[in-house]
Formats: sequence, C-alpha cells, structure tokens
Amino acid sequence: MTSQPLLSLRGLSAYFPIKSGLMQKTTGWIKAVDDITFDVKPGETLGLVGESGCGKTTLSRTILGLRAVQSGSIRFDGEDLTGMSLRDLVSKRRDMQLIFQDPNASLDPKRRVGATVRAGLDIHRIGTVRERDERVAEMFARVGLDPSLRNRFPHEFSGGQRQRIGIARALIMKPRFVICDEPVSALDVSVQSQVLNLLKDLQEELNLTYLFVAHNLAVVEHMVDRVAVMYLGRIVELADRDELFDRPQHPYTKALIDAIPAATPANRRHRALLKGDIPSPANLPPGCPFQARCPSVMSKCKEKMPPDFVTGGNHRVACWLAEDT
Amino acid sequence: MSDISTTETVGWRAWLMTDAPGSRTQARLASLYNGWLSFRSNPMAMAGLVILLGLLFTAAFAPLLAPHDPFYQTLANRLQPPLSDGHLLGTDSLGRDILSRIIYGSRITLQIVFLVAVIAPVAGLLVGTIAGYTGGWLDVILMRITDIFLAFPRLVLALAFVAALGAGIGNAILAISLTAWPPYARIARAETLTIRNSDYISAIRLQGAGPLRIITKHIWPLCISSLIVRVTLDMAGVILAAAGLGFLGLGAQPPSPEWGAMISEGRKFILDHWWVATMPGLAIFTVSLAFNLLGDGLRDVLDPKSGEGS
Repeated sequence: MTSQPLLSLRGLSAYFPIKSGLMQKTTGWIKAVDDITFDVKPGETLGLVGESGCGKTTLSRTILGLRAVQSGSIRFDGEDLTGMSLRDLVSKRRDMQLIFQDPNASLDPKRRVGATVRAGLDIHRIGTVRERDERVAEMFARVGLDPSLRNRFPHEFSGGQRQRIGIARALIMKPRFVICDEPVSALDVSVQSQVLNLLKDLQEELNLTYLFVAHNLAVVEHMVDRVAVMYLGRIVELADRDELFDRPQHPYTKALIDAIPAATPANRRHRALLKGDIPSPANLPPGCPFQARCPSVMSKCKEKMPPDFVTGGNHRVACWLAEDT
Repeated sequence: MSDISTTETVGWRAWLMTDAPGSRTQARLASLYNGWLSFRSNPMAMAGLVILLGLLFTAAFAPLLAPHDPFYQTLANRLQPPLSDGHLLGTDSLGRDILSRIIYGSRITLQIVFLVAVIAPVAGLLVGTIAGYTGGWLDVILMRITDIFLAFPRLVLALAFVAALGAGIGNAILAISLTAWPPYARIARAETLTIRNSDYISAIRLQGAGPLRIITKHIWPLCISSLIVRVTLDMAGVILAAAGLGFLGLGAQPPSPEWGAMISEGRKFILDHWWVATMPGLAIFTVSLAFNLLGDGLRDVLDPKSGEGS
C-alpha cells in the first residue's frame, strides 16, 4: 500500500453563504466542509463517519464536482480537479461515481430503469446501441437483477432492487472510485446486508476503491479498511479500522463507538453518551468545535483549534488530549 | 401461452384490464384505458368532452351542417326572430343566418384555441425551465419579465399588442399567446426547481450530461402533465379573450363570423332584437364551460397528487 493515493484532499473547504436582507448580501458562511485533508489509496475502502449534518454528503458532492470548492485541492489520480476545465472534468467524472443514499429519489420516475442505467453510455457514446444494451443487461445480471426488468419504471421495484439499479448505474461507467453515500441507510435491515455484500463482491471483482459514507459505525465496521470520523465539517480522527475501534482517542469517536448497540448489554462497560446538540455551524466559538459537548473539555480547547496529532503510525487525531502522547 | 389466448377470447376489454400485460404496447394501452375509466366516471367531464367533440364535428363539417351561406345578405329578411321560416336562430342586421354563422365561427374559435394552446405552453415551458435550471441572473431577468407580463390584466395587454401589431385574427392569436405564456413559465419554473436538486439529476450530471440534455430529456417530461391540465383550464380564458378582442373590433374582422364580433354587431339591437347578441354569446358560454369541465376531469386523471381519484 505504498502506491500513490488515488484520491487526495488537501485543506478542502466548501462553504455555504448566509444571505440576508433585501440585497441578499452575504453576511456569513456556514462551513459545511472545513479544511479537510486525507488520502484514499487504490483498492481500499475508507469509511467516513459522522452524525447527521456534519458535512459528509457535502464533502462527497464536493469531491465529485457537484458543488463548488471554496479552497483547497482535490487530486484524483495525480491530477488536480479543482482547476480543471468543465470539459476535462466531465471525462474525469467517468472514473468517479456516486451511489446515492435514497434509492427512491435517485431514479427518474418517468424513465425506464434500463434507460437510466444506459444514460451514461449514451452520453459518452460508448459502443453501438446494441453493445450498450448488452452492457446494461450484463450489469443488471451482475447486481442480481433479472435483465428482463429493464423496461420497467422505478416505482415497480422494491427499495433494495432500486438500490441495485443505482449501483448498476454507477458501475456501468467502469469507474475506479465510487463514493457510497449511506447506501443502505434507507433500506430495511434485512436488505442492508445483501446490498453491503453486493458492494463488497463488486469491489473485489472490479477492483474498486470506495469512500464509504455512513452515520452508523456498526455498518462501517464490516465494510472498511480505515475510518475517518467527521464532526462539524472537520476530520477529528482518522485511523485503521481495528486501531480506531480498539483505541479511540477523540472523545467524540469514543462516544460514537459507545453508541453502537451491543448484543449483550449486561457486560458492556460504562457508556459515554453525548449530551446536547451540535452547535450552529454558522457562528462557532473559537477553539475546538467539539468543546460544548466534550466530557473532558479543558481551558485550552476554548482558545485554540487542536491541530492533527499523529500517534503511532497511521492514527491521526485532532484533540488536545492527544498532545502529550 | 394458453393464458393469453383465453384472455383474448374474452375480448379487448379483458385484454386491456389484464394484470400481466404481454407487451409494452399492451401495458401502455391498459394504463390509458384505466385513465379513461376514471375519466368516464366523472359525468361533468364527460359532458365537457361531448360538447367539445360536437364542436370539432361542427367545425369539420361546417359546409354540410350550415343551412345557409354565412356571408349571404338579404336585407329584406333582416332581424328575423328565432324559429322563423328557414332560420332556426333568426337572422342578424344584414339578414344573414345566425345559426350558419355560429357554425362557421366554430372554425375560427378552434383555430384560435389550437394555436394558442400550442404557442403559449411551449414558450412558457422554455422560459420556465431555462430560468429554473440555470438560476442566477438569467433566472432573475426571465422571471422579472414574466412578472411584468403578469402585472397587466390579460385583455388589456392583448389589446395593447393588437393595437401595436394591427387588428386581425393572426395578430389576435399572437397577442393572446403573448399574454398567456407567463403562468406556464411560472409552473414550469416551480417544477424545475424541485426537480433540479433531486438526486437523479445529480446522478445524470455525474454521468456527464450537460444542461441541454438534462432540460430536454429529464425536466420537460416531468413538467408536461401539469402544463396539459393548465392548458385545458386556460382554454376558456383564451376563448373569452378572443371573443373580447373580436367584440372590440380588434380580432377577426367583419364579415368574418367570429363569435365576439357577432355579439358586437348585435349590441346595437340588444333591447329590441335580443337573439342577435345572445346566440353567439351562448355559444361562447357553452364552449368555455366545456373546456373548464374537461380540464377539471383531466386534472383528476393526470395529477397523481390529488389522490387516488376518489
């Protein structure tokens, strides 16, 4: 795993302007994604975890170019995407695809699912029409759907089937990098594992690299090689999966791990549960963004933003508690 | 296979109602048939449809149906009351048969309705989807223009256009279309705004689609059903606007048997010879009502948001 990273983010930020008044003047910024730096290596699965509203979805959309970058850089396969012309970006995007969270909202209700899956091939004029149809049929079979269902409309499918169609649509472009934006959170528990296993099998078959976004650490545990924990637009901790689950350093990560339901609640240790809500990202106090909810807050936390401390190999944490170690 | 052959023997109705359509065409016809069934259960909408079919029939076979030449004047026979000899609805101030004129006038009315129904929604769809999808300053400019058009009473604006362009049926159609498109632009823009941010548009963008493809292939199909309903509900207003222009002498020019112009001619005798103005008035009323009833029925069938067609 010493090869060049497939995707590398350096100080990536995406802000939303707060507009007010008659002239719609920008009076402030919501820092949905703030100064994010990490690499994704080819072939790995990086989990991105955080609670609702922490900027996970904004981050994935920014990486894919669906949202404007405020500052920082996105390098994909060694090329900087942020300064790229639209035309180059369109052809680059073939290598980066997204699997959506809500399979009900991500399929055009008035188009037959075969046409939806085929659209990417049509747009890039890949092969003849007959070859495209064959590839769609192949892709349907590969995600576990009967190819004869191609002529149906999205409302004729169940949630799990729709998510399979979404996966087929993303993978028919033969991407190298796929962002899975909470791909199972809208599905029944019984279907979740099927879809997760499908994603894993496809990763092996097609040699894919995943950025796996989730708000649920339990799902992440089964899927990923490394985990990045996000809080209010920042990465607070990043480590290999086992390292993170065994030795979490950031109080927020600890709380997330404690929130996983246990099969045997009797013999679990004391749970550190979070109190309070996420503060408004519009006007954060100086210092650590987690200070208001942190059980072990210090005076230092209210003055200075903690930098990334590297503790032991690949473990990175942005917390003053880790300063001495 | 035996299953299909037995359903075929039961007849086309069973074939249309089958739960397992054998082909795409059959499925499409079946869904149309279902829409038709729910439409048919609405007697008012059916009444509207029947009247409009009657209007179409009348317009198509006007030369065969009309008892007299609509332009033939016999001053000796002027202002005959209804049910008089040979003139079912009487004659006007120049002795022309009113029934014949109304029959021929249906052609003009249909022509106006058809052209406006084509021009206005298409223009509105273009403006609305472009404004809604691109956003930013283009959206602001296009929608402020729309607001300006909406700020004038429709007939007054149409009057202004006809006055500028010159009187005549073609210019009347153009003027009515120019005043009719803003509501369509509003509807199309509102639909576009909700569709634009949906995940499936993001998905197609990721696959490399440009704005043109997204608007024409993904946004238009979703806007069209609400526009169709709006068109049928708007038709009554279009007919009234056309009649209003005719009445004011700015639409169809005499001796053309346009209904509004006929009322205008009858106005001078309205107290002594009421039928001259009343008969074309009734025609306008009937057709406008029919369009409204049809539009209501269509909305129930086409708009899935209004429930399961209870």
